[in-house]
Amino acid sequence: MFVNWQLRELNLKVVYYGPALSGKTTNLEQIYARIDPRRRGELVSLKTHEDRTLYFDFLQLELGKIAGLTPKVQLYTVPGQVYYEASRRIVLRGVDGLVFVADSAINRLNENLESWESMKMNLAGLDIPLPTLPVVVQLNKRDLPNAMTIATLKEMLQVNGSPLFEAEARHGKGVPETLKAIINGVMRSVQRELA
Amino acid sequence: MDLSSSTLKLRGGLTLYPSQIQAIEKLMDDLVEKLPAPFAFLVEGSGQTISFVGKRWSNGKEIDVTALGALVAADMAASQEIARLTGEYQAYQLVLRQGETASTFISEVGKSMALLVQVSRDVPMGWARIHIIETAQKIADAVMRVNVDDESKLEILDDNLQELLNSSLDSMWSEDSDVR
Repeated sequence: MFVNWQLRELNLKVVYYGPALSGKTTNLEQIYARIDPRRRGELVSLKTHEDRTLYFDFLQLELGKIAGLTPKVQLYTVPGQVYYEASRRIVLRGVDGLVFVADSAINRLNENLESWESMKMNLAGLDIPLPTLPVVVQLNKRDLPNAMTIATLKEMLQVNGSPLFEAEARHGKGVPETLKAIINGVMRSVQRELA
Repeated sequence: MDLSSSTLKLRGGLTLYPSQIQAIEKLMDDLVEKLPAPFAFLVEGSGQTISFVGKRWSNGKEIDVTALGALVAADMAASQEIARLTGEYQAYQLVLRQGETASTFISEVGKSMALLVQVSRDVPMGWARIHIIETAQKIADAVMRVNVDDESKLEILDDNLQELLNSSLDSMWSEDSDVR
């Protein structure tokens, strides 16, 4: 978080985390396509030649004046592929809120678990205990025929009290709900911190 | 009156007061004039713009400062990580990119900021390097000083915060999409 007191500007960083191909970039693409262009910047994507996220995707939203402040929210994704661990750790620096995008496909359970554990480990390495951070879980690809049940995913990931949303990100379903929930969570957390 | 206390640090974050921003902008103005450089750009560690001084146009195109901020911070963070992994980390490290007509320097500023400066190839590298590092150190010092007159409390008091946020997000959102 960066506060420019002169401009009463509150800059917040939200990171979309999750296993490879779970739909993190798709979330940002949908947000980019559906948000009023006057209220967002350009979508920056650092991709490999194979169109996979190499470092991060980035999109900034400007929420307008709220409660005397001008909040700007920076959305980042991490690269999901296992060997980009160092890049994920870098992207998590200064994070104010997390969206964990889980893949509902039954054969991706292990990848979800590994990613969740790597997220906790990377946050611990940055001295950010997971329970202190607003987290929203998005169960993506709910339209797959082999989608796991929500109860199974909740139990396996041990999501304790974090808001949880079903999504079909490629159709935009669940994307705005997830975004709203994480922004609300982060702002509540900032409000508490500044109180 | 100056206090030699650190700035208000929220979790992993940074708060800058008006006097600090003014001091930073003065230092950056001086740097741009002295080198000379078309522009200098200071970002917070997660890519948020702190200050941009100089021309916002490059090769006839307006610079996308928001995108540039994210990339500068990421570049600096990657360099720090490379330095850490190879055991060569040092404070105020500098990354240089030599282009055909201009060179770009990115310098670490304290622990949580990065400074990008672009200079013409006519400007001697050593001269640019010395002044950029010196400015980076002065900016880091300026951020450590808080003027007590500035220490007003920043609060978000509104009880309807959630409603206001949701209403703002709803007004920005369109169900129509041009995603292919």
